[in-house]
Amino acid sequence: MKNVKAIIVGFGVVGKGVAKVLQTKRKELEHDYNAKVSVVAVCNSKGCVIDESGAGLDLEELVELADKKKFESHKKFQKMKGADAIESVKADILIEATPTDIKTGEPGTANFLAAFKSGKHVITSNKGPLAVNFQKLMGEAKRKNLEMRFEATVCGGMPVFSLVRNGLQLNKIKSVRGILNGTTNFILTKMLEDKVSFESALKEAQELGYAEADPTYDIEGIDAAAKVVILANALLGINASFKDVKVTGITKVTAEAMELANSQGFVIKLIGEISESGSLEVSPRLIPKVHPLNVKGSLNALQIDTDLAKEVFVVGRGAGQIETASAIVSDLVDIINRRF
Amino acid sequence: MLKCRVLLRLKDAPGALVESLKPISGHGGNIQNITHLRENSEGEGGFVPTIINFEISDLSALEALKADLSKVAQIRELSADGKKLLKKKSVSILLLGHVMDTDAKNTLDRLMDAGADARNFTLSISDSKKPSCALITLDMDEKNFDPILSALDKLSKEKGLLVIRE
Repeated sequence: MKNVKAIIVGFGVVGKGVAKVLQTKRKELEHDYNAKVSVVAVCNSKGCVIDESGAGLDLEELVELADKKKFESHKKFQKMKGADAIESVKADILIEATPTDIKTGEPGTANFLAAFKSGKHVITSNKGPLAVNFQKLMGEAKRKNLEMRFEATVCGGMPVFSLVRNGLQLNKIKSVRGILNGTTNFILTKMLEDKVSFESALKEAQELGYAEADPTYDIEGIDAAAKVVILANALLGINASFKDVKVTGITKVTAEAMELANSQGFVIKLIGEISESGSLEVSPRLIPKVHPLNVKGSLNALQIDTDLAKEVFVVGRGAGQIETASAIVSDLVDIINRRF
Repeated sequence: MLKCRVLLRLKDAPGALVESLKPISGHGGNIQNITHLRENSEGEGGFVPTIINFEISDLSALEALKADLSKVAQIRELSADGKKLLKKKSVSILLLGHVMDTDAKNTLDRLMDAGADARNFTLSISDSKKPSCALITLDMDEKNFDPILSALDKLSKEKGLLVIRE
């Protein structure tokens, strides 16, 4: 049996989702992958619960406490920064699920560096560090012969990087484009189908929980731009950061424009694109109704153009607690298979 | 003799094919074969892609043929001895903002100056005070694509229009 010790830093929606999946899939991990994963530390913004003594923490108890906002009441809770716990606690893998800060990349970047410094592989759902410091962090991981995995950062549960790594070997990725943000796709679909204004569709998205109270990251294309940066670095080897993306959001798109496009055989979608010439852009685009990228609701879709397999399309759920956790545990299993 | 291949977008109407053959024979072209791709037709009253293979004496005769042929048919591709001389593409764009108030004719003229032919222009205005929108289908030689994108970018900034392209 492979014994793997992990630390979860960031215990919000995604961190708790990972804890739930590790609990529910424990038998499959042991039976199918011959692996026993023990979580020895869990940190949120207030501090950490650490237990390096035995079989690992009781994740069900931690999720319950966190849901009741009583995480700090755990008997092993101590005030400590995530980065300090990462450096000091003995473990193999860091699961980094702190919130995204697209401007500074923190606290993710500090957490990544602490993990690499102390010899831990990193799995993340946090776009911030990668959108700001991709090459630096990947370089550091390689220098230390460690893995840095980020399947959950782009299109949640939809496999993108693992698809390319495991299914498109030897292919040269020429260009990538797609719907990288489910919130904007939900809004644009609503505007077309119900013939409502952008404001009404946004309000409904907020009521249904697809959009945040402050929807700026989504509707201004910032979230999609961060994903474009990660795709450009990881799939096309372009040394790009957030400032290199030309970004236009969907706030000016009107119901009349949706209807006109529809009458001429098109839909309007917010598309993130890395073109063959290497330019990075997020903007509303006309997509023919019959095109595979015309997916509805909050779905994400990606078109990968390669020299050998030509066009490859992936469609899936771009967000959600368990969907994102699926991407994280997929990275976890891959690291276990390769490194343990 | 040059071996030539032309891809035309022909109106699906009686006589359209015959009209397109006249400039070829008129400039000494010897037609080898014609493929009328009806299965790729754009629907009733639409257009049918048509490929014509022919031989012609030299490039100057081909240039004259091209000029006359473009008056009666839309040339999408033209090659001689396997070398591509022309490849057209169609791109649809949607302009969103005060399209009419910012001089729609000037917008179209500047796109044409950059090398585009406007094939379709559909305007939607719901209220004169609110933003309007127009969907334009542009035909262009592939090599003019980047200059046309630059012109669109400039127009967008200058006139405050949101450009949504394919």
